[in-house]
Amino acid sequence: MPQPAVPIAAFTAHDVEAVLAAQFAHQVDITRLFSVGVDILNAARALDTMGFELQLLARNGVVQAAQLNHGADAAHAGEGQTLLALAEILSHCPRQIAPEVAGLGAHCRAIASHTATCTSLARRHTQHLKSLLLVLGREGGDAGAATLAAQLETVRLGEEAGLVVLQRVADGLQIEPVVRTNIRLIAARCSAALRELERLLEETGTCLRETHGMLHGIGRIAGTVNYLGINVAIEAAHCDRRGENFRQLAADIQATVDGFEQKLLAIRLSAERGRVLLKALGA
Amino acid sequence: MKSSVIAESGKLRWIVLGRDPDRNPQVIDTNQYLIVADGQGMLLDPGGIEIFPRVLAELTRHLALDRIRILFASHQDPDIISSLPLWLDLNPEAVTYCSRLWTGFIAHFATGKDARMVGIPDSGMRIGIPGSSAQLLAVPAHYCHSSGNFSIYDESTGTLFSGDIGAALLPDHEAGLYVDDLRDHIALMAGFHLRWMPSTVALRGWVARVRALSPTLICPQHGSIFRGAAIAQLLDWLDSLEVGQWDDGAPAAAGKRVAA
Ligand SMILES: [Fe+2]
Ligand SMILES: [Fe+2]
Repeated sequence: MPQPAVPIAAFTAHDVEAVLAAQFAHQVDITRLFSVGVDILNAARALDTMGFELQLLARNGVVQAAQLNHGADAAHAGEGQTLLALAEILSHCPRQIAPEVAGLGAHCRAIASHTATCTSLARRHTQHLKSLLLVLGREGGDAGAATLAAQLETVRLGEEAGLVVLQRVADGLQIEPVVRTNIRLIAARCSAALRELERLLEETGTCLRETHGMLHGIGRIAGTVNYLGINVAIEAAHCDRRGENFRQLAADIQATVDGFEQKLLAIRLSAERGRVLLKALGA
Repeated sequence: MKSSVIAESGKLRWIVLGRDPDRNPQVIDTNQYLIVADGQGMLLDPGGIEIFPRVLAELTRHLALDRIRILFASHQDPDIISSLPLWLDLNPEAVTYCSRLWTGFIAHFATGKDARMVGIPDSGMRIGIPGSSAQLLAVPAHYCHSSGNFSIYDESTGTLFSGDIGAALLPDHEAGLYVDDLRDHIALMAGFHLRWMPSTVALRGWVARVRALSPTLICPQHGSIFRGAAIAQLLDWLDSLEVGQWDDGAPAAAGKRVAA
């Protein structure tokens, strides 16, 4: 055992605070992770709305193309046909997006819910850990404090290994049986909280990964919509004066797709932020 | 945080936990009381989240944590019971007793747990500590200061836990644990009672109920414990108060200023 390097008073005043500061940083990261979940959820809702807008635009396109087709003379007979076909394909796209977006929403809700639970759990864990350190600091005497101070690095990470060490420190102390029992009970609670935190953060990680897969799917559909929009614009350009409505439609589709892609990018960035936070939390 | 045994009978033991020199100066100083009977515990006004680690650390000397059977909240304030989820983490089986008015409110502190709550009827009730023969009496203290409020009386030692009644805002944690003479203490209590207590009728009703019990100790949640002559002095002083008044400082209100 190392020579007592830290007197008990210094230990309780500073080292406990250092451990707790690390715990608070942990809590802040978890709260940030919660806000990542909420950000993605909001973006997913925006995607949902845009999908609906796209559907309306496509329906509008189908109706207009049919009218164009109906009123066409021999020279313009083909134009309406192509636009009608394009608009019909386009009107199927939002339907493909809807389930993907719904899936994304479900994952985001899970992320938000897990991290909200984590926030509360981490907050409570910190208070229990603080109690445990106070008891060990009080009961340990100089030798106990020194051992504890030497081992605080492991506790700092909020890992269960640190608790095992604390428990071993406690086992080596000459203390009242009731205090020993209570140290064991508090340490058990801390371990349980850490295990639960780990489980929830792991699930959050899984959700984030699956979010990534879904973004890929949604991005592909958005690409198709974009491509169809460009084709509508090209076709409309060939329709002289009667294509005016379609040029407007193509512009509206383009604007919606742009908005869509911005939201997708925002979600990707949020998810990335989430992964970085999870890494910092050791999950 | 310090703790000391304040009363003892063959049946049970009262311990006060408080006077925390390391207390965050932003939080009001509180006394927590632990009753231990046959190795089973009842915690009175367990306190806020902020002071929980120190209360728990001190409590580890007195009772195995899984033997805390009852958490009692005299009322719903955060300094009384916001630590509830932390106690339930350690002992999910503990039952929380509070006024029937506050069960649904205090459950907000429980953060997702199914807290086992007992709503005390307005007229009060006997509370037995499971695993022991100890029985405590929940004495109505409504509107003193909360609208659903209880004191706890122990017939075996004559100890009365009075919650916010008799509370004093002490200058520092070194102030005496007991009050033997009320004279110098009134200045520390007056502001609190005049502003926090809403009803003179209710306060006098409580005093009458307590006189009938003739306690030997009155233990508030803030400040010092009353014993000896200070008990009658406290009850007389409370009887003399006209509470539930607020002076907004405007000239028209000058006439109704109360003597502190
Ligand atoms: Fe209160
Ligand atoms: Fe209070």
